[in-house]
Amino acid sequence: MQQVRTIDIDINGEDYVRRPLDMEAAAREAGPVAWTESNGGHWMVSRHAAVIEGLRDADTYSTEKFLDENGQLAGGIMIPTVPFYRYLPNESDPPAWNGFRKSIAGHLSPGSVERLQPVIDQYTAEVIDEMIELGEADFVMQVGSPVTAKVTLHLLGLPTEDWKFYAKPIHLLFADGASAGPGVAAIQERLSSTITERRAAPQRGMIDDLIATELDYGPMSDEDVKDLVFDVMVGGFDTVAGLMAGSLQWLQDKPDLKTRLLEDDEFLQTATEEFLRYISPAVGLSRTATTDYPIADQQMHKGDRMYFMYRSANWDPAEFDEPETMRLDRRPNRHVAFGAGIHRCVGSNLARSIFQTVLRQFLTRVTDYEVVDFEQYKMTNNNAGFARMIMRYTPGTRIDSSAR
Amino acid sequence: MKVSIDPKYCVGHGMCHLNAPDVFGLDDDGHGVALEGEIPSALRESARLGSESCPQQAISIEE
Repeated sequence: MQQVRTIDIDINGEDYVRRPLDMEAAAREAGPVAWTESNGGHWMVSRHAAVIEGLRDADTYSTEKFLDENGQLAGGIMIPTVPFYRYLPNESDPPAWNGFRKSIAGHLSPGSVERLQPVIDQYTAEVIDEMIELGEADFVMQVGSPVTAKVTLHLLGLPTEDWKFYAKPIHLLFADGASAGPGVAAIQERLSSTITERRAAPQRGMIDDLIATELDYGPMSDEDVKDLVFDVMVGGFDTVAGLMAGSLQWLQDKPDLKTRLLEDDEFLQTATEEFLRYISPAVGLSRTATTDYPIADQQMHKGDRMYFMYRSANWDPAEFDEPETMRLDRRPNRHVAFGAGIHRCVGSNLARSIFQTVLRQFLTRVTDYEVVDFEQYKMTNNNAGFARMIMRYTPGTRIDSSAR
Repeated sequence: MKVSIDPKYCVGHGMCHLNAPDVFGLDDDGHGVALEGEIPSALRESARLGSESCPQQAISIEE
């Protein structure tokens, strides 16, 4: 029997907020998997091989919330457990997961995303039009978030002009969790009333397809539809915006690479994967062990909480040569920026397409941007990104995409 | 050489297709589909790269 490796890291603590990469390096140093007593006690799965191994077999872990022996809500994908809402399909286990995942996967498949490409092009052009004459803008809330939100709302079949109503609270949820409450509650209410209306009078959108979905045990409930739609929004909006912002910040003083990204499709593809690896918008998510099973040389026990560290895995020198160096032609690049196992990001195809479209249109139209100020999220153990990223640039001209 | 993808582990990262499009396609859900039968020698290196790029280690190669 191996000794239990331990490490003293509080993933919600000040140190982790200030020096996350150092803390993740320390976790990897302690071993592939180590136990911390902080936050009620949980495993930290920090090395690449251990993350893959631990998430490979869906029977060994659960993401559902449950009441523990003291009647307290436990489990779920965050540490500590978040009581207010359920993410779907993220916080469901097979067999229920099968139906939930299937109900959204088709809308986000490579084929569906390809058909959506003209819409992505259009919203990107439109959003850049709105900021290009200004000379200064917050890339996150004036480009990254609105493009992603509008495309997602279009796909869902919700009014795209309401993008701010949804995108601002979701941005706050990541950027400054404490102040997001009222806006998120308003989204939940709006979704509930919209679902009631659309069940009575269906239109043509993903939300209508979800409402009409028959699961193995009966029709999809309104609550399920709300939780699925909310997860699509939270999973998509700021993660993609943060990826874009981080990439453009890194590229700002590299004109040769910018040119190559515009001209070379294959380079754009490998670069996208490298930006995903390096920036890792999804820092990590949690699971609960459903059985006793080993990950690397440590023994999980049924009921143990496990924090799977995607960014740490993506910066593991055992998997990636010089992980702290951005190499836009890196391959193979087995990053786990989208997670791993059955809950791996279902929107990855859409995320890649939106990212690549915005990157190219932005680099083409805003050629001399400079990041003059930026602020990273305060909350860091689930997502990495930017509260804001102010760019200054020579004002350009609209291409009047509003005449659609 | 033969290549196969274990559907139990493939979750649609799409990295095989990205790295070796001539050996791995994607189905409608974005799950990998490997070239059937004997892999021509000209594609073997590509097949290895595609297989190594799978974060799920779902692809096996039979030499």
